[in-house]
Amino acid sequence: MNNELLIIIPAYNEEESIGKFLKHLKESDINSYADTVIINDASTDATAKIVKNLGFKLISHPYNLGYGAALQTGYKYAVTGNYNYVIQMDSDGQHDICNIPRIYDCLRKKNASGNPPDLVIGSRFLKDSKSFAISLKKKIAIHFFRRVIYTASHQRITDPTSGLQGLSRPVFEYYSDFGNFDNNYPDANMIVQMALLGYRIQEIPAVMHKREAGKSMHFGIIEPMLYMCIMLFSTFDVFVRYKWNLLPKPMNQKGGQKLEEK
Amino acid sequence: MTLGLQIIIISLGFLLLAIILKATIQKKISESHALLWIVPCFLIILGGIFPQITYSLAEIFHTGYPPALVFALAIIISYLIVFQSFKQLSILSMRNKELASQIALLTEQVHTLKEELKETKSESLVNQEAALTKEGQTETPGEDSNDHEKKENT
Repeated sequence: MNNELLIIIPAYNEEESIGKFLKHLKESDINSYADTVIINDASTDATAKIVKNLGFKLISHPYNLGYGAALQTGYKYAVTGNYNYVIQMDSDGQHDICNIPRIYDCLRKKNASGNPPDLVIGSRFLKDSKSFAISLKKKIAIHFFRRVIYTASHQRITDPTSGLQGLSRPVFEYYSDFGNFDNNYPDANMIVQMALLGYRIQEIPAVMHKREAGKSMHFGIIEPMLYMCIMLFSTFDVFVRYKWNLLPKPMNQKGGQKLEEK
Repeated sequence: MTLGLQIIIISLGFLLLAIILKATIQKKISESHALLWIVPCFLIILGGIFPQITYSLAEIFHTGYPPALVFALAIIISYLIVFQSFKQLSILSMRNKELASQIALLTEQVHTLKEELKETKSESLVNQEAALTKEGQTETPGEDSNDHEKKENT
């Protein structure tokens, strides 16, 4: 470990975009204060080769495990590497690297109550954020998840589907444990879980670009509908588990402080 | 129910029981899973030996067509077994993912350690070479003096 910040980039068959994105990252001054790890989720194209050639740290899954599992591998790596902060971003270049220092600053900055946030979400819908035009289908899904999160946890989140997130050590340490993180579909359900467990969640404006190459995880009509149903059920499951005290409690009581107050 | 049909049902029940027991002995199915299949086998055998049970149950549940009760029971048992299998599948899938993730991390650690070992080895080789050269340099004047002594003796 050289730095206290680790950037986790899960990648699956991103040969067309990952090279350009990593070159941007390499040329920036981010390397002076952050380490980067790319989790190759058993890509069948040249993704791993590109990453290796550019000299980035690469962890390859033996076979495809999915986006959530790739993130969890990154969290485990961050725990063993004794990092204090983690920023996760997509490898397709949708998340601009200018978001990294902003999220990093926010993770370290104490709020009015004297505590820094545990989870920082880069939002496309806040003032000062820059984003591409979003399809009606996605807008409906985002509104739906906003409503679901608010109903379950009374937390107002403008961009619940954002993959651009910054996590402090208590959060990724908790996520890295077996069974604490949804390694199939980590989305609104994880936000609800962390809010219910008392972790401090904050949103900041983010800069995002339209995907230039590759295929989105949620394309078509049936798949997103199915995804919404799964997510709704998964969030309900988190809520019930919280109410029945079945959610694993955080190891260190940072996240649990608010829990006790409640 | 005819005697022939009764014999067929009972034989089928015993055949299924034998298949399950064989699989259990050969460790192809765990005891707990085998039990899920053994119970229906006994129900088949019991139904074959005492067919009147079906008729009595049909009367209790006011079923006009007794075989419908058998089908209903079979569907419920199958449903429970399939559910149990899916449950196990989900648990195994989760554990499988965890293991694969750990393997990926360990592979990376092994790779890093190998690189470090290589570097240390090459460094120690360089150090050894340097030490040898230094030794050689310090020994050379000694050798010269010996030679000088030898020359003087001759």
